[in-house]
Amino acid sequence: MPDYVLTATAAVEPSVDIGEMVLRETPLALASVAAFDHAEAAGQAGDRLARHLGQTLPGVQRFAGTGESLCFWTGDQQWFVTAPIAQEHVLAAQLSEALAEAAAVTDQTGGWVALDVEGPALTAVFERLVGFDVAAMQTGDALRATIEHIGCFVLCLSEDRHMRLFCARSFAEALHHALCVAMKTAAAQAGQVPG
Amino acid sequence: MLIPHPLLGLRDAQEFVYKGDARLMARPDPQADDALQAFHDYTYLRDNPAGQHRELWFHEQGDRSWLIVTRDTRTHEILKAELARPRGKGERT
Amino acid sequence: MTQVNRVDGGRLDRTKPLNFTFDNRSYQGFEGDTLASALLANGVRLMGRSFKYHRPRGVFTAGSEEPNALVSLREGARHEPNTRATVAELFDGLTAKSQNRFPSLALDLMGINDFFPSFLTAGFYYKTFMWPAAFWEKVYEPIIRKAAGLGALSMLPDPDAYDKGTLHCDLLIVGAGPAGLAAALTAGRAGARVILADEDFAMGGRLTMEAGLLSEIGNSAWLSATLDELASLPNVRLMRRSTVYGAYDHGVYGLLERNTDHLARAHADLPRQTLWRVYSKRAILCSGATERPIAFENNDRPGIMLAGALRAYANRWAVLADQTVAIFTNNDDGHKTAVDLMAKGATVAAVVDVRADAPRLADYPLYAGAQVVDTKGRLGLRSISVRLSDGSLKQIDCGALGVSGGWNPMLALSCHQRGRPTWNDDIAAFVPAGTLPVGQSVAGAANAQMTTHAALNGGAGAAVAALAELGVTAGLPDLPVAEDAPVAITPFWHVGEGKGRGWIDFQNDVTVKDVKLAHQEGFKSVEHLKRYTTLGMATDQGKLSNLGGLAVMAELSGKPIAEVGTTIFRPPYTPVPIGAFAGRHRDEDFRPTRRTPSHGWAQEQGAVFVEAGAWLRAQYFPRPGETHWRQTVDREALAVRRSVGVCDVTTLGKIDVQGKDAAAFLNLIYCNGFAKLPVGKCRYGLMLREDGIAMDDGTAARFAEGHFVVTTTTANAVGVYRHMEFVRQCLRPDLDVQLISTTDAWAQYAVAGPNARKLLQKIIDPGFDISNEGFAFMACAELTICGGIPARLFRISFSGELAYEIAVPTRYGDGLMRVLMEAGAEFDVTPYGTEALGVLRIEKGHGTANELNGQTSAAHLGMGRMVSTKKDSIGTVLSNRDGLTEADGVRLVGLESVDGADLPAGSHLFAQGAEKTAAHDQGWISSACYSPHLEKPIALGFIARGQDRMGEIIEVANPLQGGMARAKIVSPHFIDPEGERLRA
Repeated sequence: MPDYVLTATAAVEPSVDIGEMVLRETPLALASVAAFDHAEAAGQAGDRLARHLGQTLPGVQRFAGTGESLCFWTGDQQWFVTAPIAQEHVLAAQLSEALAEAAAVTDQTGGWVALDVEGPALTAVFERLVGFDVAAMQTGDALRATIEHIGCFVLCLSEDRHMRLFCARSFAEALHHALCVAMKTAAAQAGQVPG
Repeated sequence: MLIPHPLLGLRDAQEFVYKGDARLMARPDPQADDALQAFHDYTYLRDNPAGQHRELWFHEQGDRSWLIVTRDTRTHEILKAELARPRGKGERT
Repeated sequence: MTQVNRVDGGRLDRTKPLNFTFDNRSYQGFEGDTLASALLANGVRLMGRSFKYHRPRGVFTAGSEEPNALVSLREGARHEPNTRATVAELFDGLTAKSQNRFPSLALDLMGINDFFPSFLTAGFYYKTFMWPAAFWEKVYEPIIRKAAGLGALSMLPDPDAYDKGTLHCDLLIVGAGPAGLAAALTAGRAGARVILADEDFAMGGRLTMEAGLLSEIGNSAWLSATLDELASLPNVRLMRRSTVYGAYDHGVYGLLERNTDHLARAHADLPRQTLWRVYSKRAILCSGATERPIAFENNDRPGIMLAGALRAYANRWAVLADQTVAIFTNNDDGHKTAVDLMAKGATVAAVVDVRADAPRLADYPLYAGAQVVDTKGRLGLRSISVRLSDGSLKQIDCGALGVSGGWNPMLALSCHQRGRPTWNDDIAAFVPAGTLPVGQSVAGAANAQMTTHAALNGGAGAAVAALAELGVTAGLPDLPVAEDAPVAITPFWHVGEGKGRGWIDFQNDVTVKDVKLAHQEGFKSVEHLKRYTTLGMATDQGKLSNLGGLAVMAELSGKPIAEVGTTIFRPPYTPVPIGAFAGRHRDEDFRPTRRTPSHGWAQEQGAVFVEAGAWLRAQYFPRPGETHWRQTVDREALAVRRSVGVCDVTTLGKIDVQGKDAAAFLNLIYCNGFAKLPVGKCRYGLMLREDGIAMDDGTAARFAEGHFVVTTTTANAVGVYRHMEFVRQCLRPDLDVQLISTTDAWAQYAVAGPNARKLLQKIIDPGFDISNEGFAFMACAELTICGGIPARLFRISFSGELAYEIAVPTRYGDGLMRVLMEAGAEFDVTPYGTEALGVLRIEKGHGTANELNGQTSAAHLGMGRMVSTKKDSIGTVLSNRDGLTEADGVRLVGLESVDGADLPAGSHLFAQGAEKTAAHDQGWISSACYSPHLEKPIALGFIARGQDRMGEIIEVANPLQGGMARAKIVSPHFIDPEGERLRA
């Protein structure tokens, strides 16, 4: 029985309502997978990962999966895999085993924070934040963006209605703040909040 | 300025960090007899063309790939953009 | 309150009267007015004083090209100087004041300047203010500063927020006049993503300011129907009050949207303005044309304005600038003003046309082949003097004069990518030509399609062509029957020699005489003309004056205008507030702050924080009773060496290096060797630049054959990762290795001091042996703590004490700090910040970014032997160049204060008694602190041949702040130089 117990802490306040939108942190287990290049492994990493996850891998700038279990493309032969937070201590190890020598696997659970934004007409929020064509974003897209100098992944879980953002944990409060400001602006413009 | 990333499509140059002439990829042989002079030229001498320039850009705010971009320095027209490290076996042609 | 000049009609909502003040007098206007139209409606003609001569001025135009009617809008922190009254949308409670006059607009003492014009000609300041020399700083400059400028800043912080954003479209249409509307209709109906932007608050361009352009359907009906349809299309975005101010590379445009300037009170969460970056696949410039004046003596009195503006005020704003008006023109278009004003009930006293064959469009007195040669009415036009075709002079009373010298296509955005326009004789103006910005085409009057019919069809046609290039087929819409009167103009720029002054640039007070002076003095090129006279350099950027000026210069030089050419057009088209460029990046939000895992806990302890790049780090942890930071820092440093302390070192870069070639890769980027580093061990690594200069250092820990974790300094984390990826992708793509940044993934704490091991043993799970034998100096391991939480332990020491760094996944970072404090209570565990961290490492002699400052090599750092000669690495070859291996090169040393005086970092080092000049400079101090262990100030620094000068007393000079001290050269390892504590 250990004398000391380590507790995990959230990165930002759990949930904020702004107008008809909500912003919340979603704790997720996360691991990065980067295929090694030795000839035998080219393609092998992808195959083994797909088999382990039980689904086809996403294409360039896309994600696959649902809910808390996603796999999104981050670069050529590179992916992030997410899972429910309960798996935080085992996700990377399980992936490592499944991928054998084919890829570099790193636990990223601590390194990234997932922030979910849900509500109507999110395009009006994100056109103030990201450089890519958010109006053309479709469910299943996973795009890199720089939001107020913070590097993020933006996943479109439901077109115009549900986005999940990932940023480095040290930036989480700053990103949270930037999202709140943009959400308040959009809410004011849409008349969702009296003022 | 927009850079046509071979995998990601047109991306704003703001997402990148510029390094310089793509000749930086041709690192001299440290064992050669004239290595000191060769490394000096490699480190300090540059062409500065008014015209097409092959140069290295790092997609720091994207997929962290290095690109070789062929750009006209007078008009900013970008004629080509390719991955510095080709996909697959890592052999460069 | 009566609006004496108001007539029927116009695009106003008379159910919404608005109260406003100008120069503390109250007036009324209506929704739909601008400040200028409302003032004119109330019979106010005098609106400003000119820049140099302080001449009384009134409004000259009806648009954003306005040079004269610059007012200070609003009060308090939102006070905005130099606002053009022509674009200031009227709102209830608007307050405005005129500028550049003292004590009042009607009586301005500086008007005395107007009596000494020959002393104040163009460039007068190049020839004056030179004698006596002493007068410049004390007399002339203060006077000039007071006299110069227009308007004044509030000097209060800007209370408004500004925002930025990005928009993407297939087609950006700049300008919502007939051409732009036709283009938008065409493209919108074809399903393309369209942005239609107009700087005005009402869309329609000249359709709102002219009468009868669309003879069958009528201007208003077509305009309403078109705007309604466009608003209903989900693929069309209408942006009013939005100026496209710049055309940049690759179809990117800058657009400034004014969100709340027109509101008396706005929602607290709305930004005042939004700066949009628009990525367009294609763009059509439909910015229309602007009328230009003719220069003649005293052509700048209040009441004199562009003919097109005179009728715009009548048609759109239902205002007669005066009951009795006259026109001066060189083209048919000027006559339209006479027709429109007569229709509104004004008396047209004269239409003066320079052309002998001038037409008559209605029953007004026409003076063909005549010119206006002078005017009277200092505070407001009273009469004009006309030289008739037979040479006789006629005086005609009138209160307003509409002047038309022709129309200039507003082509600025077509030239923002260094394009130059060409001269078109048909309309006697410059038109877009040559290389347009990528993806841009021009339509409507901006492209010399001057009639409404031509503009409508030009816009629609341009949209069809642009979409065809994108693979979209668009059909031409049915366009209304529209006026199609051809341009009929005889170029005429200024009325000939008179004794008085004729104005060309109203805002900068540049006259025809000034252009002649420039020519006389040799400033003949259009670029010199501009800078010498300041013509075109005011906030209106010469929209009305450029052509007039260069036409005079062309005449004087005997060249055609086409040959004189134009200056370069640059963004922004109209002024953009600095706040809009800043957007959200102000004050605390200037850039994002990165927080460490222990940040919240440190705040609870009352820590003082310091910015380390983007990070906020605890600098020191004051305890009650401590009043000076030195007390705190000394205590922390002493506590570490006495027992144990904990410091958050998460900010140092951490990079996972994995793959079968991981060791080979590290061998290449570090100058020292890593191939033989055993699994379970760490090693210090020094990274050089290719030129042999030290770039960064850190430790690499080997967890498996093909798995290392590499650290970098906090400051260089991003740069080192970029460098490593360069090596991997560009230099050695044959190496099979992957790099993954994990800086944020692990919370990492230094646990340092004689009791460090005992503290850690309390939290590390049983089964992991961290005794001195089981986990020697420089060991590393993956283990678990607190009942199964994964952790990494590194036995490395920055302080020189027995020390470790312990890392857990960041979610547990806050928890781990609290556990360490709890478990360490029995050892008086002391949290320490960056200050104490610095004291400890200086005492130990560890270099950091201060020492690796981009000027020092491995040899200078005393690590010359670390550069392996057995393998290649970045920087090895040039490490051996003469410049870095000279015998009297600098060497890193320690310095002890001899007399207790501080040894400030940045001080320079001299032999005792040497003259304190650059020639005798022997080195510098890179890091300094007070050492509570040695009880004196100490420092690390570089000095020539330092290794041979141990014990020598030298002088430490700080001439900037005035100081001198003496120091003894010692080994940089002040504490435990044998490293016994490290290995305990």
